[in-house]
Amino acid sequence: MSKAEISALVDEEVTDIERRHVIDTLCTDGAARRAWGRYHMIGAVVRENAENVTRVRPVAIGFSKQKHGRAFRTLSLASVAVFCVLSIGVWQTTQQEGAVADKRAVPLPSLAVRSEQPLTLETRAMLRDTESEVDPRLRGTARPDPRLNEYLVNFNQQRSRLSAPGVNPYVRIVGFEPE
Amino acid sequence: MRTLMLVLAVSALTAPMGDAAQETASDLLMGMSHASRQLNYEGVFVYRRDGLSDTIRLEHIFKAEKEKERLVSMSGPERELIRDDGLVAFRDGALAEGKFAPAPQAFKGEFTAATLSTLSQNYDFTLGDIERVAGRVARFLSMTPKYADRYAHRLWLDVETRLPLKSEIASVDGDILEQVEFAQLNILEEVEEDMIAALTSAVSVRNENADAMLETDNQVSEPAWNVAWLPPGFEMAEQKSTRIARGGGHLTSFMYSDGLAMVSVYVKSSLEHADTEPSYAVRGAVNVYSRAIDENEVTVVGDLPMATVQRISAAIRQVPRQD
Repeated sequence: MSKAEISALVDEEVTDIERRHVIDTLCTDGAARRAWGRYHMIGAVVRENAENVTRVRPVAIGFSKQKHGRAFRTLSLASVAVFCVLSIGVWQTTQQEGAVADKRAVPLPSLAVRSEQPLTLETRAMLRDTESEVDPRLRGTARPDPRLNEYLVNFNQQRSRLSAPGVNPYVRIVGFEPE
Repeated sequence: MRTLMLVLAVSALTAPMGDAAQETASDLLMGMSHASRQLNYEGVFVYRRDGLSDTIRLEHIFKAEKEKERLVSMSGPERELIRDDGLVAFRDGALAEGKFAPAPQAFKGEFTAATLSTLSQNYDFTLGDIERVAGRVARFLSMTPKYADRYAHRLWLDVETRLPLKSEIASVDGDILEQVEFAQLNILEEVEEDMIAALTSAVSVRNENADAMLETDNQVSEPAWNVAWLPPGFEMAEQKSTRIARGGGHLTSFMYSDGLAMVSVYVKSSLEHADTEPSYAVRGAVNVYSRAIDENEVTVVGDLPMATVQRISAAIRQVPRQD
């Protein structure tokens, strides 16, 4: 598959037939999937204006549902599954029409920080505060979301502008290789 | 009393560590900032995170008080980033090409005596043994957080130049989350003119199209958001608001730093298409946590543990406007 075809899919500049062909190919072509994920992430930063902030989202939710029939909705949901698999590698099963199954929810790391080092009194107090203050709805229900890639890129770009020491944020951008 | 504690902290940071040399952690870190910016060098390093690795070539020159730098990935699809002082251009194969916004306050994050004194309140500095990295002699320096709310940073600094030959970010459990390690590094005494010209022309061409995503929108009124809790030592480093072209609304961001780690809070004032359930992403040492607050999507991104990112998210409040 050519880069131009992947680019057209990302930019929503394909017909339904072309879209179906490209998505079918993405399901079997690992290199194409990596390119597709990378284009989404990079596109959020390097394009000309801020409309990218909203632009990735329609793709991530599987195109427009109003304009297409059942077959296309199924195809669109399948594209969501492809997106999730290549970006995070957690979603293992094919998409079913309807709500996301609870079993796919991946619990976040516990708020209790595991450490073999003795915690200071301040840290213990902080963790107690954390447990009591955090909204219980925030815990255990969050899902991995490849759409958040745009924030990752934006953060590293901001970080590079401030040039804080540590791992060079430019390295994080150039060295990006989506799963 | 506060001043006395600060003086004691600075004294601890600047006291010679170990018996191998009289240099201090403070000397090394300020030397690293200076060398990273003002030396000419080229090399190849390996970047590792999440079980993945990438090999990247780096060229850096400093001339007429300006930095020019190029990073090129050497495996997989070609990705290239060129920085001409405050301007940065990025190219990803034949498809994506553009620029990042210029940095009017560029490079203010250098280590200084003031930033180091602040850091010493939240990190313990340990100077370690001499090791060998990229065929050069390096001094190990560890910055371990005093609290479990942030990550540890480790550096291997070239004894001769103080350039960082290797750097790591690690969890409190000791797990390495991100690592950059030079395999080869050459210090350049002379820089050829064509190398300078190549970097400059590349950026000037690619900067024709400005990325407005990060431009400050001066028409936006004061953001009505408050972050009620941050880890000790974090202060605001930058605040921006951008009008979203499609779908309306604004994207407001607040960036905070303790001088080493950074965290950004993004508030997007439109929930069109957005999930209302919390979601997250992880890349190396960078964690992202997003959730809805009323009609807004609030996302916290930082090179901090997920528990800390979550706690910051829980502390974000919308402040009622007084119209």
